[in-house]
Amino acid sequence: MTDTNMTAMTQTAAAPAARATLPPPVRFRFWAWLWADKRALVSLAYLSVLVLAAIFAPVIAPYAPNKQNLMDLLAPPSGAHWLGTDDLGRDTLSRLIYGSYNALYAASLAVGIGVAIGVPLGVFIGFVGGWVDQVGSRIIDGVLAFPPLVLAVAVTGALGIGLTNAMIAVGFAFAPVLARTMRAQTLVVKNALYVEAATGFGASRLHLILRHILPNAIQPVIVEVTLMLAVALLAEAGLSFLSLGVQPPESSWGGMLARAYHYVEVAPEQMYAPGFAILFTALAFNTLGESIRVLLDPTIKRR
Amino acid sequence: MMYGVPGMVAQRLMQLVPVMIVATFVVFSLVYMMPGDPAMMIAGDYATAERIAEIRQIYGFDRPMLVQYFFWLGNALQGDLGHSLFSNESVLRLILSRLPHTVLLVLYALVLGAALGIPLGILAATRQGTTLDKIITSVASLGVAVPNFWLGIILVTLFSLGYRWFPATGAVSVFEKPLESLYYATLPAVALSTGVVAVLARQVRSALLEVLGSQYIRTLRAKGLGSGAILWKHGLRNVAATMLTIAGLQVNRLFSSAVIIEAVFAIPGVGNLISYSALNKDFPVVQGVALVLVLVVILTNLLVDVLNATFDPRVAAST
Amino acid sequence: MTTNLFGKIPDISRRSLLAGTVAAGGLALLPATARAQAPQPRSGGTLRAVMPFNPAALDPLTGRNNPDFNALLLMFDALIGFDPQTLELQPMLATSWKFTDPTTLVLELRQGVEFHDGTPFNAEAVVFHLQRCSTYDRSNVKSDLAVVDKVEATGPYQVSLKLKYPDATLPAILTDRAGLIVSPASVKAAAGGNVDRAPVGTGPFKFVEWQDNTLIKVVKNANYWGEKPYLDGVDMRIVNEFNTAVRTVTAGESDIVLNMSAQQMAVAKRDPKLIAEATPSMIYYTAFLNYGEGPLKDVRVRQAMNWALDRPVLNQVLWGGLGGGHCSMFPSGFWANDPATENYYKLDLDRAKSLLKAAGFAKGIEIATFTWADQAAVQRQEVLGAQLAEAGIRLKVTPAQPAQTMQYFLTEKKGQMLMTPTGGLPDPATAYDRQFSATAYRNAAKIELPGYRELMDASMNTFDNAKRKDVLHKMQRFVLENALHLPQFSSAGIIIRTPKVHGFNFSLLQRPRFHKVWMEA
Repeated sequence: MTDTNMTAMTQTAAAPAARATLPPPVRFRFWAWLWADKRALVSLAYLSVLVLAAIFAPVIAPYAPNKQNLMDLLAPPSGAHWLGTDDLGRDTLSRLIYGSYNALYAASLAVGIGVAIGVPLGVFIGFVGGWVDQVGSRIIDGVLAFPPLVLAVAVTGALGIGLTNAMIAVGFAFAPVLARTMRAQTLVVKNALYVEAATGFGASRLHLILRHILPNAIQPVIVEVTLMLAVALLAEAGLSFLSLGVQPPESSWGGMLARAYHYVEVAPEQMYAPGFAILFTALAFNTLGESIRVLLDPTIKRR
Repeated sequence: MMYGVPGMVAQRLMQLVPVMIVATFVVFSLVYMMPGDPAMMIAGDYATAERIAEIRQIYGFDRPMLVQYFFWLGNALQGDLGHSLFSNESVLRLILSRLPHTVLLVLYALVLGAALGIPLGILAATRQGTTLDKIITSVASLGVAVPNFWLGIILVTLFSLGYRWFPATGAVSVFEKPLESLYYATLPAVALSTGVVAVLARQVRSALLEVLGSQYIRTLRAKGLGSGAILWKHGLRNVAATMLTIAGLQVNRLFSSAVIIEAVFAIPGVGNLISYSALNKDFPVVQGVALVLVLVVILTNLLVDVLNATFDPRVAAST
Repeated sequence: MTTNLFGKIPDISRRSLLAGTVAAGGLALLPATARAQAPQPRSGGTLRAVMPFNPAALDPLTGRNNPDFNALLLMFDALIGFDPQTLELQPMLATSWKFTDPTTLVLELRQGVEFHDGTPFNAEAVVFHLQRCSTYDRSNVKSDLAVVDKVEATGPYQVSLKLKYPDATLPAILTDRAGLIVSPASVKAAAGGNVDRAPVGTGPFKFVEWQDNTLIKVVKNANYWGEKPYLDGVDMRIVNEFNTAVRTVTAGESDIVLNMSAQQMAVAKRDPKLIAEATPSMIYYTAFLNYGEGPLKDVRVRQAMNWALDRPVLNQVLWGGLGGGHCSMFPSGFWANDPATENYYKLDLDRAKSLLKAAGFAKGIEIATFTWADQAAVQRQEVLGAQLAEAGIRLKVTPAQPAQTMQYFLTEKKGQMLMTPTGGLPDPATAYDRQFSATAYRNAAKIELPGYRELMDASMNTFDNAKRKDVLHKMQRFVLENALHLPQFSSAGIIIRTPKVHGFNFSLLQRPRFHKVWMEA
């Protein structure tokens, strides 16, 4: 997995925030922040366009994405086909536009699974502590010791081939990262004075978790999640390349890239469009993630 | 209770055992759950149903999962990782013949990444806010976002098939022809290294900025020390730990990316081996590779910690 | 005229494959300079070959997949050989063979042949080998020799096989794995008789080493009984990714790459320094249908699917026009292929729709389909799906690893159809038997339709070639009329090489022998 951040960020994102005492509830003016942070502005604008493209693909796309024209295979870019056609004569631009839906779906699914498993797990073992924490942390360490893509390959093998399954596999690799961050945050918040005070007033455990721990511990996770969206996108491309994320005839950018690689010597230009789409989208998620991190972590902000 | 570096190493080695057991068990259950019957693959293109049933019995696929796992674990503890179900080759030999290729690739990428990433980070930090800083930071962002294998293919198209400067495929044994092996590994290592360059540049920059902005450095500067001397003597020494930690964490990521890069460049490494074996449901090989990779990753992190502790005794005391 | 990867191709549907493609595919791509001179064979040099599949084993009995033969035939000779173009049987380790009665096959063996380990090849060795085929627990060829009751040495160089019932396919089976004679001494010396990684045969090359999924290295057998090989040795590299494999030749890192597909042919054609050759192949692309239950139990639905395909287009788009766009299981010109029914089904959407309507699916039908997950398979499924959709047949596709698709469709009886390449067997009767007999693993329905058994038995116990051909032509018609499967096109054996490599012949079975291959200096 091209998860540059995945391991590094647990170190960098979690550590300073865990060190910091609880920040006051953030109340900030969204538009002012966005205007001040031009990179976040551009990223968010790009991502919004992408979401719109995904929603309105049938309106925007010049052709139906799966319409084959076997008389016009691997055509170079032209007026009729701005980005050329693929190996079955399908319009590459249209497939790229439709593919944005799958790209966003794939990335959200993987991160969603990671959050759904990782966050409750982290809070649970951090909150309960004791031997549960010991055992849980060992399991997390065990899974984290895997190079994530190796784990994803194995999980996809277990679940069966397909875009959804491949992304569940990636989510499975995300989960321990999030769990570890959540656990560390939970420990910090749990030990904070006012939680003890709340316990003293007889608040229920569930109430404690939902009202006090989760909102305060979730911030570094927001950063991680944004960065993970980029990682998931890149992982989708990688797994598709290894033929694990195939879901024909739907177009996904990773799938398009894998297919174009098949013809790279004949029609190299087919490699560029999906490659750059992945690159820019991953870049946008990363940039946004960094901006949110700066926003949430006062120690970085001051620099 | 031991203290200092040896104590830390001992403690960490103790922690290794449960992690290894969890890790191998996770892989074992995953491979076990995979649909697709290895017996069918062993039986071949024109198998009969009886032959498949017979193979299932010969190889013990009909036994319960836990029995199979503990059988494997027992053997593994004695250094016997079993044999590939398909090629019947010893798993240990398979791994040992392939690991050098992958390790070379990963180390090469790490060195390339450090050689490029650290100077870039320093440059950006010392020119904070300038156009150069902005360019470096932006390029670093690209480095994280680019799909490695896509870059690899573009590099091959340009430099192997276009200019013919580098071989397009394959690998040469690092023990037999060390120089040639580096030559072969260059393009894949470059493709792999972008992430390392990016992360190192970014982390070195921010760590250095933090150090340079600290009270301690300001005091030194007030005492009249030159900025060059401050940077080399105090700034870099203090971010060395950051660099090491980042590099250690990158190893895990590099082994990941190597899985695909090895497919692009036809490098007979462990990444290639595990994806090939996982798809073929070759339990013993997947298990063996997983075990070895986890071991490599954990030991790398241990090494990083030891190095950090050697530089800074406070680290050892804190574990 | 249609456009495809290879530019404009005038006529694709009716090229005579057997006579034409080697010339059309090979010569057309040959640079003019190379065509002008006809260099003479020369001894020496090590061939750097590449193939995309790692053999499962180099013991012919325990291996399993067709590409294994690229390596096996370097080191092993078969009892009976075959003509690479017609599959006509030829003497090899057996100089002659004869059915003395319908249940007795007598083989006369070649004298003065030695295994690579120096032990003699004789009747004793053959008896040991054939018994090992049936008794070794890891043997994958037990069913091939199920018909054999008893093997005896009836002379120092004569072996007699007593059969349980007449079987005309047996000589052809002796060209296959079961006939590749392994040195008995090597088996006896190996732990557990396992010679998977220590192959010792009588072939033109001797085994040196096998680095799993990386390299198989062999050197010339100076003591070879037949014409001496030209090459000093062969380094067979294994590169799993097809494009990467071709790149080894483009980048000058190898001399020849085997088992490619049409995409790689297009790549090679762009490079004037390379030669790409496509030769007819017994391997063909089809879809197995479960005609025992569900909607495909109705022959009209199966026929409708067959009428909905435009096979010349499939061949054109998916195999660059290099295969055969017809519905026979064999290449055009092959003796068991009946030219009268080779194009039994042509594109006829009206007919497909009316058949569907008659079967009660006027509004169309959905077919649960399994397919492989690699890019080429996905492409096949997309084109096929688009054609079937024109007739109202929608595919609901599940991609999976090859062995998984087999398990789902054949063992667990899920879905109605499995898209796969198949074939590549030396005898056509065996090809039918392994796909359509009730006992065949590949027959998901596990039933035989009325009329099948009579034809099958006749093809097994007819020894006269002309009569056998007649029976097999009837079988071809039976399979097509009953639409027992969904054949799409026959494939081609594709190799890419440098002009320096000469004398390579992939054969109809994609089982090449390298001993006549030579290289320019």
